[in-house]
Amino acid sequence: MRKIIAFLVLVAIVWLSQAQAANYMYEKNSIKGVGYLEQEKIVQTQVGFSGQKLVEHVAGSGNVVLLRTELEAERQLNGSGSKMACEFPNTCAMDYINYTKEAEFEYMPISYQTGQYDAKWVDKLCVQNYRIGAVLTEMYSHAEHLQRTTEVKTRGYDNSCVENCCTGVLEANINSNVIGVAHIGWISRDPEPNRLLKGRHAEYGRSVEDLTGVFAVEKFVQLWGNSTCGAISVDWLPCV
Amino acid sequence: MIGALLIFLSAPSFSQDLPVDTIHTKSIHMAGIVEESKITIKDSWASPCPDSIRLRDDAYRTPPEVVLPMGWLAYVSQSVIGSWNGSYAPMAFQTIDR
Repeated sequence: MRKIIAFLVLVAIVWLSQAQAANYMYEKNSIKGVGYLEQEKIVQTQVGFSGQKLVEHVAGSGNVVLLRTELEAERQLNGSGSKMACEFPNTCAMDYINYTKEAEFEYMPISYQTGQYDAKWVDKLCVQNYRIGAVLTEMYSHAEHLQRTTEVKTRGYDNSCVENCCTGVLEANINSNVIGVAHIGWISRDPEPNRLLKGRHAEYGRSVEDLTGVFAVEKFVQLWGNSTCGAISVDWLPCV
Repeated sequence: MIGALLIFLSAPSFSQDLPVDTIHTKSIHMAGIVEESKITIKDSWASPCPDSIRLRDDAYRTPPEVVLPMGWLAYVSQSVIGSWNGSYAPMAFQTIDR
Protein backbone atom coordinates (compact mmCIF):
# COMPACT_ATOMS: atom_id res chain seq x y z
CA MET A 1 0.00 0.00 0.00
CA ARG A 2 2.81 2.41 0.89
CA LYS A 3 4.48 1.66 -2.40
CA ILE A 4 1.28 2.51 -4.27
CA ILE A 5 0.87 5.81 -2.38
CA ALA A 6 4.53 6.70 -2.99
CA PHE A 7 4.08 5.92 -6.70
CA LEU A 8 0.95 8.09 -6.92
CA VAL A 9 2.73 10.97 -5.14
CA LEU A 10 5.61 10.65 -7.59
CA VAL A 11 3.23 10.70 -10.56
CA ALA A 12 1.50 13.79 -9.14
CA ILE A 13 4.85 15.59 -8.69
CA VAL A 14 5.91 14.76 -12.25
CA TRP A 15 2.55 15.91 -13.62
CA LEU A 16 2.61 19.19 -11.68
CA SER A 17 6.18 19.94 -12.77
CA GLN A 18 5.00 19.87 -16.39
CA ALA A 19 2.47 22.63 -15.79
CA GLN A 20 3.52 25.66 -17.86
CA ALA A 21 2.93 29.36 -18.00
CA ALA A 22 0.47 30.91 -20.43
CA ASN A 23 2.77 30.78 -23.44
CA TYR A 24 0.33 32.56 -25.73
CA MET A 25 -0.72 36.10 -24.83
CA TYR A 26 -3.21 38.30 -26.65
CA GLU A 27 -4.75 41.63 -25.72
CA LYS A 28 -6.84 44.07 -27.67
CA ASN A 29 -8.18 47.26 -26.18
CA SER A 30 -9.75 50.57 -27.08
CA ILE A 31 -9.87 53.59 -24.78
CA LYS A 32 -11.50 57.00 -25.21
CA GLY A 33 -12.21 59.67 -22.64
CA VAL A 34 -11.02 62.63 -20.61
CA GLY A 35 -8.93 62.30 -17.47
CA TYR A 36 -5.62 60.91 -16.28
CA LEU A 37 -4.27 57.78 -17.89
CA GLU A 38 -1.35 55.59 -16.88
CA GLN A 39 -0.66 52.29 -18.60
CA GLU A 40 2.19 49.80 -18.55
CA LYS A 41 2.81 46.65 -20.57
CA ILE A 42 5.75 44.30 -20.09
CA VAL A 43 6.04 41.15 -22.19
CA GLN A 44 8.87 38.69 -22.65
CA THR A 45 9.21 35.29 -24.28
CA GLN A 46 12.31 34.15 -22.36
CA VAL A 47 13.86 35.06 -19.03
CA GLY A 48 17.11 36.96 -18.75
CA PHE A 49 19.06 38.32 -21.70
CA SER A 50 17.36 36.17 -24.34
CA GLY A 51 14.18 35.93 -26.38
CA GLN A 52 11.87 38.81 -27.31
CA LYS A 53 10.90 41.62 -24.95
CA LEU A 54 8.52 44.56 -25.09
CA VAL A 55 8.08 47.35 -22.54
CA GLU A 56 5.55 50.14 -22.91
CA HIS A 57 4.60 52.98 -20.60
CA VAL A 58 1.97 55.65 -21.27
CA ALA A 59 0.95 58.42 -18.87
CA GLY A 60 -0.62 61.85 -19.06
CA SER A 61 -3.68 63.95 -18.42
CA GLY A 62 -6.18 65.42 -20.85
CA ASN A 63 -8.17 64.08 -23.71
CA VAL A 64 -7.61 60.56 -24.94
CA VAL A 65 -9.12 61.01 -28.36
CA LEU A 66 -8.19 57.48 -29.29
CA LEU A 67 -6.08 54.68 -27.85
CA ARG A 68 -6.24 51.36 -29.63
CA THR A 69 -3.70 48.64 -29.06
CA GLU A 70 -3.33 45.03 -30.09
CA LEU A 71 -0.65 42.83 -28.59
CA GLU A 72 0.10 39.22 -29.40
CA ALA A 73 3.03 37.21 -28.04
CA GLU A 74 3.92 33.55 -27.95
CA ARG A 75 6.67 31.30 -26.62
CA GLN A 76 7.20 28.40 -28.96
CA LEU A 77 10.82 27.83 -27.91
CA ASN A 78 12.29 26.59 -24.69
CA GLY A 79 15.20 28.20 -22.85
CA SER A 80 17.79 26.58 -25.10
CA GLY A 81 16.18 28.00 -28.25
CA SER A 82 14.66 24.70 -29.42
CA LYS A 83 11.03 24.01 -30.30
CA MET A 84 8.73 22.97 -27.48
CA ALA A 85 7.05 19.59 -27.78
CA CYS A 86 3.91 20.98 -29.41
CA GLU A 87 2.45 21.15 -32.88
CA PHE A 88 2.33 24.79 -33.94
CA PRO A 89 0.46 26.00 -37.04
CA ASN A 90 3.57 27.76 -38.38
CA THR A 91 6.20 25.64 -40.11
CA CYS A 92 9.20 26.99 -38.18
CA ALA A 93 8.74 27.43 -34.42
CA MET A 94 9.54 30.90 -33.08
CA ASP A 95 9.21 33.30 -30.20
CA TYR A 96 7.36 36.37 -31.38
CA ILE A 97 5.69 39.61 -30.33
CA ASN A 98 3.31 41.48 -32.63
CA TYR A 99 2.32 44.95 -31.48
CA THR A 100 0.06 47.55 -33.10
CA LYS A 101 -0.92 50.89 -31.63
CA GLU A 102 -2.97 53.84 -32.78
CA ALA A 103 -3.27 56.77 -30.40
CA GLU A 104 -4.09 60.46 -30.14
CA PHE A 105 -3.61 62.42 -26.93
CA GLU A 106 -4.25 66.09 -26.11
CA TYR A 107 -2.77 67.48 -22.97
CA MET A 108 -4.78 69.58 -20.49
CA PRO A 109 -4.93 69.78 -16.71
CA ILE A 110 -7.85 67.87 -15.24
CA SER A 111 -9.53 68.82 -11.96
CA TYR A 112 -11.83 66.68 -9.89
CA GLN A 113 -13.27 67.36 -6.46
CA THR A 114 -10.85 64.80 -5.08
CA GLY A 115 -7.72 66.06 -6.77
CA GLN A 116 -5.94 67.47 -9.76
CA TYR A 117 -3.87 65.89 -12.53
CA ASP A 118 -1.47 67.95 -14.58
CA ALA A 119 0.93 65.82 -16.60
CA LYS A 120 2.02 66.22 -20.19
CA TRP A 121 1.96 63.00 -22.16
CA VAL A 122 4.72 60.44 -21.92
CA ASP A 123 4.64 57.46 -24.28
CA LYS A 124 7.59 55.06 -24.29
CA LEU A 125 8.07 51.86 -26.21
CA CYS A 126 11.12 49.59 -26.21
CA VAL A 127 11.32 46.33 -28.15
CA GLN A 128 14.30 43.98 -27.79
CA ASN A 129 15.24 40.96 -29.85
CA TYR A 130 18.11 39.17 -28.09
CA ARG A 131 18.18 36.44 -30.76
CA ILE A 132 19.55 38.86 -33.36
CA GLY A 133 20.87 41.58 -31.02
CA ALA A 134 18.41 44.27 -32.12
CA VAL A 135 16.57 46.90 -30.11
CA LEU A 136 14.11 49.64 -31.09
CA THR A 137 13.05 52.60 -28.95
CA GLU A 138 10.22 55.03 -29.66
CA MET A 139 9.69 57.58 -26.92
CA TYR A 140 7.67 60.77 -26.63
CA SER A 141 7.69 63.03 -23.60
CA HIS A 142 6.42 66.50 -22.60
CA ALA A 143 3.86 66.06 -25.36
CA GLU A 144 1.06 68.61 -25.63
CA HIS A 145 -0.39 66.79 -28.59
CA LEU A 146 0.55 63.35 -29.82
CA GLN A 147 -0.91 61.45 -32.70
CA ARG A 148 0.81 58.18 -33.52
CA THR A 149 0.54 54.87 -35.29
CA THR A 150 3.09 52.14 -34.65
CA GLU A 151 3.40 48.59 -35.87
CA VAL A 152 6.22 46.40 -34.55
CA LYS A 153 6.94 42.73 -35.16
CA THR A 154 9.82 40.87 -33.59
CA ARG A 155 10.67 37.18 -34.04
CA GLY A 156 13.36 34.72 -33.06
CA TYR A 157 13.37 31.39 -34.91
CA ASP A 158 14.06 27.84 -33.75
CA ASN A 159 17.73 26.82 -34.14
CA SER A 160 16.89 23.66 -36.06
CA CYS A 161 14.75 25.18 -38.82
CA VAL A 162 16.57 28.41 -39.56
CA GLU A 163 16.42 28.97 -43.30
CA ASN A 164 19.14 30.86 -45.10
CA CYS A 165 20.81 31.87 -41.81
CA CYS A 166 17.74 33.98 -40.90
CA THR A 167 17.75 33.69 -37.11
CA GLY A 168 15.15 36.40 -36.50
CA VAL A 169 13.72 39.77 -37.50
CA LEU A 170 12.65 43.03 -35.87
CA GLU A 171 10.59 45.34 -38.07
CA ALA A 172 8.73 48.56 -37.39
CA ASN A 173 6.55 51.12 -39.13
CA ILE A 174 6.28 54.42 -37.24
CA ASN A 175 4.08 57.39 -38.14
CA SER A 176 3.57 60.22 -35.68
CA ASN A 177 2.69 63.89 -35.26
CA VAL A 178 3.92 65.46 -32.05
CA ILE A 179 4.17 68.75 -30.21
CA GLY A 180 6.80 67.92 -27.64
CA VAL A 181 9.92 65.81 -27.41
CA ALA A 182 10.61 62.65 -29.39
CA HIS A 183 13.44 60.16 -29.06
CA ILE A 184 13.56 57.38 -31.65
CA GLY A 185 16.38 54.98 -32.34
CA TRP A 186 17.66 51.46 -32.87
CA ILE A 187 20.82 49.45 -32.26
CA SER A 188 22.15 46.32 -33.90
CA ARG A 189 24.68 44.32 -31.87
CA ASP A 190 26.29 40.93 -32.25
CA PRO A 191 24.34 38.50 -30.02
CA GLU A 192 27.58 36.62 -29.30
CA PRO A 193 30.15 38.25 -26.99
CA ASN A 194 33.51 38.87 -28.58
CA ARG A 195 36.68 37.63 -26.88
CA LEU A 196 38.74 40.33 -28.56
CA LEU A 197 36.36 42.96 -27.21
CA LYS A 198 36.83 41.70 -23.64
CA GLY A 199 33.47 39.92 -23.68
CA ARG A 200 31.52 42.88 -25.01
CA HIS A 201 29.13 42.65 -27.94
CA ALA A 202 30.27 44.20 -31.20
CA GLU A 203 28.02 47.00 -32.39
CA TYR A 204 27.17 46.93 -36.08
CA GLY A 205 24.74 49.83 -36.35
CA ARG A 206 23.02 52.55 -34.36
CA SER A 207 20.61 55.31 -35.33
CA VAL A 208 19.24 57.86 -32.86
CA GLU A 209 17.01 60.89 -33.36
CA ASP A 210 16.13 63.49 -30.75
CA LEU A 211 13.46 65.99 -31.73
CA THR A 212 12.03 68.91 -29.78
CA GLY A 213 9.24 70.95 -31.32
CA VAL A 214 6.44 70.31 -33.76
CA PHE A 215 7.13 67.30 -35.96
CA ALA A 216 5.72 64.73 -38.29
CA VAL A 217 7.71 61.49 -38.32
CA GLU A 218 7.52 58.68 -40.85
CA LYS A 219 9.89 55.79 -40.30
CA PHE A 220 10.40 52.23 -41.41
CA VAL A 221 13.00 50.12 -39.63
CA GLN A 222 14.02 46.61 -40.66
CA LEU A 223 16.57 44.73 -38.57
CA TRP A 224 17.19 41.18 -39.75
CA GLY A 225 19.48 38.40 -38.56
CA ASN A 226 20.52 38.06 -42.18
CA SER A 227 19.59 39.71 -45.44
CA THR A 228 17.98 36.47 -46.66
CA CYS A 229 14.89 36.46 -44.44
CA GLY A 230 12.43 36.59 -47.33
CA ALA A 231 9.68 39.19 -47.02
CA ILE A 232 8.91 41.81 -44.38
CA SER A 233 6.17 40.99 -41.89
CA VAL A 234 4.93 44.55 -41.16
CA ASP A 235 2.53 46.37 -43.44
CA TRP A 236 4.41 47.39 -46.57
CA LEU A 237 1.71 49.94 -47.48
CA PRO A 238 1.04 51.89 -44.28
CA CYS A 239 -1.10 55.01 -43.94
CA VAL A 240 0.93 58.22 -44.02
CA MET B 1 2.64 101.50 -63.27
CA ILE B 2 4.90 102.40 -60.34
CA GLY B 3 2.57 100.52 -57.97
CA ALA B 4 2.78 97.39 -60.11
CA LEU B 5 6.57 97.68 -60.12
CA LEU B 6 6.64 97.96 -56.31
CA ILE B 7 4.45 94.88 -55.95
CA PHE B 8 6.68 93.00 -58.37
CA LEU B 9 9.83 93.99 -56.45
CA SER B 10 8.36 93.08 -53.06
CA ALA B 11 7.08 89.68 -54.16
CA PRO B 12 10.20 87.72 -53.05
CA SER B 13 10.02 89.18 -49.52
CA PHE B 14 6.33 88.21 -49.23
CA SER B 15 7.08 84.68 -50.30
CA GLN B 16 9.64 84.33 -47.49
CA ASP B 17 6.90 84.92 -44.91
CA LEU B 18 4.93 81.89 -46.01
CA PRO B 19 5.05 78.97 -43.57
CA VAL B 20 7.46 76.36 -44.86
CA ASP B 21 7.95 72.92 -43.39
CA THR B 22 11.49 71.61 -43.28
CA ILE B 23 11.99 67.99 -44.25
CA HIS B 24 14.82 65.75 -43.09
CA THR B 25 15.19 62.40 -44.76
CA LYS B 26 17.47 59.58 -43.74
CA SER B 27 18.12 56.32 -45.54
CA ILE B 28 20.35 53.55 -44.24
CA HIS B 29 21.07 50.29 -46.02
CA MET B 30 23.46 47.78 -44.47
CA ALA B 31 23.66 43.99 -44.49
CA GLY B 32 20.37 42.90 -42.91
CA ILE B 33 19.45 46.46 -41.89
CA VAL B 34 17.24 49.07 -43.55
CA GLU B 35 15.96 52.37 -42.21
CA GLU B 36 13.90 54.78 -44.23
CA SER B 37 13.02 57.90 -42.31
CA LYS B 38 11.34 61.21 -43.05
CA ILE B 39 10.93 63.94 -40.45
CA THR B 40 8.92 67.06 -41.19
CA ILE B 41 9.59 70.03 -38.93
CA LYS B 42 6.21 71.72 -38.94
CA ASP B 43 6.04 75.46 -39.24
CA SER B 44 2.46 75.54 -38.05
CA TRP B 45 0.08 73.34 -36.14
CA ALA B 46 -3.67 73.31 -36.36
CA SER B 47 -5.28 73.66 -32.95
CA PRO B 48 -7.19 70.62 -31.75
CA CYS B 49 -10.71 70.48 -33.07
CA PRO B 50 -13.19 71.57 -30.33
CA ASP B 51 -15.43 68.63 -31.22
CA SER B 52 -12.71 66.25 -30.14
CA ILE B 53 -12.68 67.58 -26.60
CA ARG B 54 -16.42 67.67 -26.10
CA LEU B 55 -17.52 66.29 -22.75
CA ARG B 56 -21.28 66.53 -23.20
CA ASP B 57 -23.60 68.12 -25.70
CA ASP B 58 -23.36 71.45 -23.94
CA ALA B 59 -19.92 71.27 -22.31
CA TYR B 60 -16.45 71.54 -23.77
CA ARG B 61 -13.00 71.30 -22.22
CA THR B 62 -10.80 74.27 -22.88
CA PRO B 63 -8.25 73.15 -25.47
CA PRO B 64 -4.56 73.58 -24.65
CA GLU B 65 -3.54 77.13 -25.34
CA VAL B 66 -1.37 77.32 -28.43
CA VAL B 67 0.37 80.67 -28.70
CA LEU B 68 1.78 81.58 -32.07
CA PRO B 69 4.64 81.63 -32.72
CA MET B 70 5.10 78.33 -30.91
CA GLY B 71 6.75 78.30 -27.53
CA TRP B 72 8.64 75.22 -28.61
CA LEU B 73 12.08 75.60 -30.07
CA ALA B 74 12.62 73.26 -32.95
CA TYR B 75 15.64 71.09 -32.31
CA VAL B 76 16.73 68.12 -34.35
CA SER B 77 19.55 65.77 -33.59
CA GLN B 78 20.23 62.86 -35.89
CA SER B 79 23.13 60.50 -35.58
CA VAL B 80 23.98 57.36 -37.47
CA ILE B 81 26.82 54.99 -36.82
CA GLY B 82 27.51 51.90 -38.84
CA SER B 83 30.46 49.63 -38.30
CA TRP B 84 32.15 46.69 -39.89
CA ASN B 85 34.90 44.24 -39.06
CA GLY B 86 33.47 43.47 -35.63
CA SER B 87 33.05 47.16 -34.82
CA TYR B 88 36.79 47.64 -34.65
CA ALA B 89 36.52 50.36 -37.26
CA PRO B 90 33.61 52.70 -38.00
CA MET B 91 32.32 52.36 -41.53
CA ALA B 92 30.11 55.43 -41.60
CA PHE B 93 29.41 58.20 -39.17
CA GLN B 94 27.07 61.12 -39.49
CA THR B 95 25.67 63.58 -37.00
CA ILE B 96 23.35 66.49 -37.64
CA ASP B 97 22.43 68.94 -34.90
CA ARG B 98 20.46 72.06 -35.66
